[in-house]
Amino acid sequence: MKVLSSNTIVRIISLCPIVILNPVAYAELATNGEYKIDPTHTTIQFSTTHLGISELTGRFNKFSGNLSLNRSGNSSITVDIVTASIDTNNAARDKHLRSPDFFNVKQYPTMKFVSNKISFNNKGEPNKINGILSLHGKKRSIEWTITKIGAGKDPWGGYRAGYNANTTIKRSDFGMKFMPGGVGDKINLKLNIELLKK
Amino acid sequence: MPILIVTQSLLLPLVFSAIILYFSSSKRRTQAFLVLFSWASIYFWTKGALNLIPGEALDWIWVLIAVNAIFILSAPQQLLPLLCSLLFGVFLFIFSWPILSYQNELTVWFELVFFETVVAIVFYKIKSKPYGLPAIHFATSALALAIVSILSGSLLIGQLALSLVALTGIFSFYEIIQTPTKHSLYKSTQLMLLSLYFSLVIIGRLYVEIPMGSTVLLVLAPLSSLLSNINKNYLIQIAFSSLAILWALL
Repeated sequence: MKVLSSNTIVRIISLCPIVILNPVAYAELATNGEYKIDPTHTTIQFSTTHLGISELTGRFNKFSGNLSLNRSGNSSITVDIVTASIDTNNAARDKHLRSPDFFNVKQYPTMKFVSNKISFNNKGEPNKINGILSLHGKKRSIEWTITKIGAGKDPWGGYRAGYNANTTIKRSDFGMKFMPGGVGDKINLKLNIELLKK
Repeated sequence: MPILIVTQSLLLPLVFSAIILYFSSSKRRTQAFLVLFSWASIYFWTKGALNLIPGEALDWIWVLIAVNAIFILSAPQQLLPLLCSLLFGVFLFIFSWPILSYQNELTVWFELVFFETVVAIVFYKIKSKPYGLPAIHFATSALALAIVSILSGSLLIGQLALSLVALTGIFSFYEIIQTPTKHSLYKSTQLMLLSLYFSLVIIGRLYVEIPMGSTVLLVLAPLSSLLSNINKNYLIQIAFSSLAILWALL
């Protein structure tokens, strides 16, 4: 039996990404249909100021969501986030954020966004999403700015679309007013979403 | 930021403590009203929100002591321990309802029954003791609760517990310098302050997951003081409070 040389193995390995990524057509318009969030390729991040002198970033590790994309009719998206999954890379701080001082995760285990309007640009890409964010027992209207990243078939026969979404909320609007000097009131939310067509 | 915490949790309650002592040395109802006013002021300033319509368990505490104050102002004194125990039982259910609504487990109910039983015994013992619970004993338990809460993850409950220490601070000092010891907190005010203390312990247990061992020790600390020998009860009180902190540290 012929043994492959190390140079051949290196060449095969270096070609793998091309073979895997080749089927995806990044620039195409995401097709209409029903999508669900792929949690392994999605991040939900937030950032705020600490003592007004630096910016701190965190994320939520557990979430789910669905997108119904229909350019000629009603499009909608819902995202459910498990508040206890907050992660700022510091266990003591995460415990504090889960307590009644901030998220009060025992009383409010989830936060939810439900869209009521998705706007499209002239290319047919979603560029704004308006809807209601339910957090900490309060419901407030928010608007996301959307940037399309790509869409197309994946190497496993599925169809995927990816977007980034950004918005800024005030935690005080949601009744989280503790430690006003220590933790910034403005919270930047950033969703890097990958959606898998059902 | 640290200045704000010290002002909210220590300076303001100490000032209130002095005002309460000065204006209510012989007026039971005035003392109850002043404690209610002081607590509401401290609570709203610390929380940073004027939630007159309660949304969270912590918001319900000021309603609890407002009803407590109404009882003190209007009900016969001998009925107060019973009324306060029943009232606390109702609020125990209100505090825990958001959790019970999705986590209706037997262990939670067992804890609630245990809390209510101990609270009822403490309130009954307050009535039967000549001066009830000394302010210094109450302050020691509240200080332990503050430390345990902060260790468990809630600075807010820690600050509120610390404000209870300061709110009884002048009374504790007054007790220490008096010979023989004279208690200046009326039993009715003690019932109000203990309702506040037990509420914070239970909310800490339910919402911050204060360790069960620490919770039991914090709940039993005032009872240990009321049940034990009069000469040694402060040592037992300190032992319970210290163990509660140690448990939270482990």
